[in-house]
Amino acid sequence: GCSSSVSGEEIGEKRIISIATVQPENHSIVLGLNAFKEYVEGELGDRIEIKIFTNGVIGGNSEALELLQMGSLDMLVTSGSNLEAFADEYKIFSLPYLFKDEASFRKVMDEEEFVDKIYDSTADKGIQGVTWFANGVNNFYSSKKIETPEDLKGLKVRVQSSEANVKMVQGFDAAAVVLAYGEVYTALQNKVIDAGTNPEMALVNMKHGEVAKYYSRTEHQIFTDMFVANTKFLDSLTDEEEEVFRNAFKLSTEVANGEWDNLITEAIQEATLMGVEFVTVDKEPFEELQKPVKEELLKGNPELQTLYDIVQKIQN
Amino acid sequence: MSVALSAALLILVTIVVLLLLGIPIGITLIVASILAITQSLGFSAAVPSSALKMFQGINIFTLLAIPFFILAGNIMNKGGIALRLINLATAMTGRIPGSLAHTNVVANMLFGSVSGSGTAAVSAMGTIMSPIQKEKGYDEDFTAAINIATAPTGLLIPPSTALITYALVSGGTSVAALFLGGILPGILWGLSCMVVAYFYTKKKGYIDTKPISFKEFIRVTLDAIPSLFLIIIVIGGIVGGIFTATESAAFAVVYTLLLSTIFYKTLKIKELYTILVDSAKLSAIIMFLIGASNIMGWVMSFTGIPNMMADVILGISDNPIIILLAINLLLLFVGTFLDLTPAILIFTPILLPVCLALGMTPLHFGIMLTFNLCIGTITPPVGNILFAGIKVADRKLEKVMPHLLRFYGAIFVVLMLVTYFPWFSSFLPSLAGYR
Amino acid sequence: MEKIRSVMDKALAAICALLLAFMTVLATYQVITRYVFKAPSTMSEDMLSYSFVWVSLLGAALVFGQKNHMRLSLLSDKFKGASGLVLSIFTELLIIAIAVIVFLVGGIDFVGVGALQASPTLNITMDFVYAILPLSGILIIIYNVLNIIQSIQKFNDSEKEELQ
Ligand code: NA
Ligand code: NA
Repeated sequence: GCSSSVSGEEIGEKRIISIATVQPENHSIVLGLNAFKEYVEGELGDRIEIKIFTNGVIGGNSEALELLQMGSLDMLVTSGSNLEAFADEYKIFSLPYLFKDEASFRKVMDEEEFVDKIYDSTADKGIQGVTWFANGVNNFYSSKKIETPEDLKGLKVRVQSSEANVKMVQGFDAAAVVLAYGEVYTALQNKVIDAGTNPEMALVNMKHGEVAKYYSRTEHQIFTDMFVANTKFLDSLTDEEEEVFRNAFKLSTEVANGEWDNLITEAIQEATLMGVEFVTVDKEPFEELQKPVKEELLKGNPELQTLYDIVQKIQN
Repeated sequence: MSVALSAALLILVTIVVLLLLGIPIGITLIVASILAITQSLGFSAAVPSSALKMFQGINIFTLLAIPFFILAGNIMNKGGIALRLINLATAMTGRIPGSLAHTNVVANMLFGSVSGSGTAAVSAMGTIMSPIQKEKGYDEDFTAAINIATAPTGLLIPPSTALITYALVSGGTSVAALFLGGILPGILWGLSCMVVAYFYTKKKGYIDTKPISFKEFIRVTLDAIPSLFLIIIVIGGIVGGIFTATESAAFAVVYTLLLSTIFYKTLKIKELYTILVDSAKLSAIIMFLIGASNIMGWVMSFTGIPNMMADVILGISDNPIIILLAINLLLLFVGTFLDLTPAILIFTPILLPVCLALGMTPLHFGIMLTFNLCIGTITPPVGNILFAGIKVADRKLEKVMPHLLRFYGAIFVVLMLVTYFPWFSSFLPSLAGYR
Repeated sequence: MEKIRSVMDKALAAICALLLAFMTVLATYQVITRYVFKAPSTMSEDMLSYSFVWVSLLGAALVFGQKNHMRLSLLSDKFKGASGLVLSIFTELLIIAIAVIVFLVGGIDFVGVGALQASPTLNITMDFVYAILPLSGILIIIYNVLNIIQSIQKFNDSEKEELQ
């Protein structure tokens, strides 16, 4: 028969759990989700089946989050910045030079004292964070070699639309241009913008490396992707199931972050073949210029102060 | 039966029955979607999620270009721009036998392009051109046929709301790339019809207007340049990265408004209110369909229909050439009874994965799909442009049809070129750096 | 009855025209701020998108009132007289059903979700924006009830004519 009721309470019926992401099949996050699926079905395969929807077929950013809130989706991987509309806590990640470096970022994200505050921040909206995935380090890239903050002066830099991003760029005496990600390649080519700021993947996946030959490791922002679940769905799990899921969350993060590191290494190799030069810079003068920006943003969003202090405590 | 198969059958049967009963297409899509998703999600989650999908389907920045281009087109239609473009077309084609027919084709390409509406083009040209051709002894059924056959070119030559719609449902193909990609196929469509017209008018011995003087040529060209400048603003602005497609559309509105109120002085400010209301209504008709299709797209993904369809279609043959031919025949069939916009919205999610698996780019597929469905606007039983053209020429369908068949043949040849040679749709975009 | 329709028609048309004009100005302003003032306007993008959804759904309601949505009229136009009346009432009822289920009931749920979410750039929660769904739902329902009444009246009138 073709019965496939939702409840799945009937004997012999598997409960179908749906997970969505905008990433394609070969992305590290999907590989992490596959590991999650394998583990959960290995343990609870008699009653649970996991369906992973890739490529954003279920819906774009806020759309998928709302479907999750309404219970049409059980779980979702989305970028932390999409969650800013639901909880101010997520704005912490856009503070420039919040983390010393990526290792420090991962160390902080592994501390419950910090990360539980993030996970729980959206719980009253029906969205519960369960784990996180590395999303890379934002550096500047341009057809101009950027070695010191002076090199950024007067450049037109593309950012995603947010207060923190615009202020960060203005802090370098550069002009912020808000543009869609898909238009960055031609904008760089036509000199509508002089620089972009993204992890290394953009050089290869979006071919930005063809039009921006210098990638400078300024490491000014480190963002995270989030694995979130519908709160009611999580509450419906039995203790035994919850235990399995908790292990599976951890596993998915390990797998995805490992794969992410591989992808970055590959992206750097491929970009080098495209002729991109990776520039190591002295981060200190950059960081120095962003201190007033960071203070201003903290003053404008006082609710971030506690989280900020915790981050400092953990990484120092 | 798998979830995908039962959902697909349910959707198919519901759509066929409700469409035949004359239920609005948008409502038909929503009913079919809710019936299909309730099976796997339950009614209580399906209902609010459908509401969300309706809203978020429209809440997309790129789509804003559609009301703006419609508004700009409506301002143009009132603004005496058609006549200037006809004059230019006459000047360009004056020395070819059957020049009036060629004038009609070129004027359709120019006016259809700037106004963005095939029905506006077919009506404007039919009203102005048909009497002149009749006076010169042209067969009236032939005249109506060539006007109808070439009016859809403006839907491919940018700006084009059909291509914006495709950009959206295909998951973010660049609008700029699609606009550039539509230019060559649109021009080829027009040229292929000119070839047919050339041989027909030569056989019939239609020799008409005397070529105009060089001085006159310059005057006519100068007069038409401000109208054509719109294409340059839109394409140049987007490709040059000065503004997004949406912003270029808003500029098109401002530009046409200034042109027709201050420069040509053909539009009175009072008329603007009616134009605004009409444009809002037409855009609402399209947006309601887009919202409804967003519900159906979600239901199809959730139940796994596109993957299943891909397997079925790819299973037809091992030969990509045959699969593509089958897809084209399917689309031509769809185009005979479904309008351009709903057909793009419904068939992109189903056929795009298949064509990607065949190694096509989203750009190439989008142009092929739109080209194919544009043919549907001039085929019976449902064809906006066909019936507008018949009506404005005051002819009978069965008399015009034999002439149209010849043009269908020529257009089909171009369709095959566009399908099997990606170059036609990718060459101009690649010059601007899009791949 | 027709008084209600005419008031609704005029009001909706005026709102749609104003919104569309406002959107044109706003989009133009967005480009100008970017180039002339060198400061990207972060607010206008959201404002534009929301106005756009509003104008689309209000316009859609207006078009339902005028029975002008895209449809296949090939076969249905062959239904005349009583069977034509039955079909047109069925059509209107189906539209009302969707307006109630999706726009009104589903829409109210959706508004509830919107209340939990802040607009990224405007200082409001999203329920104010999402309210257009139930609102347009109510408008569609009113229009379609009016359409049913109108069809029945027309049918009765033509019956009378035939009798005379
Ligand atoms: Na066009
Ligand atoms: Na047709």
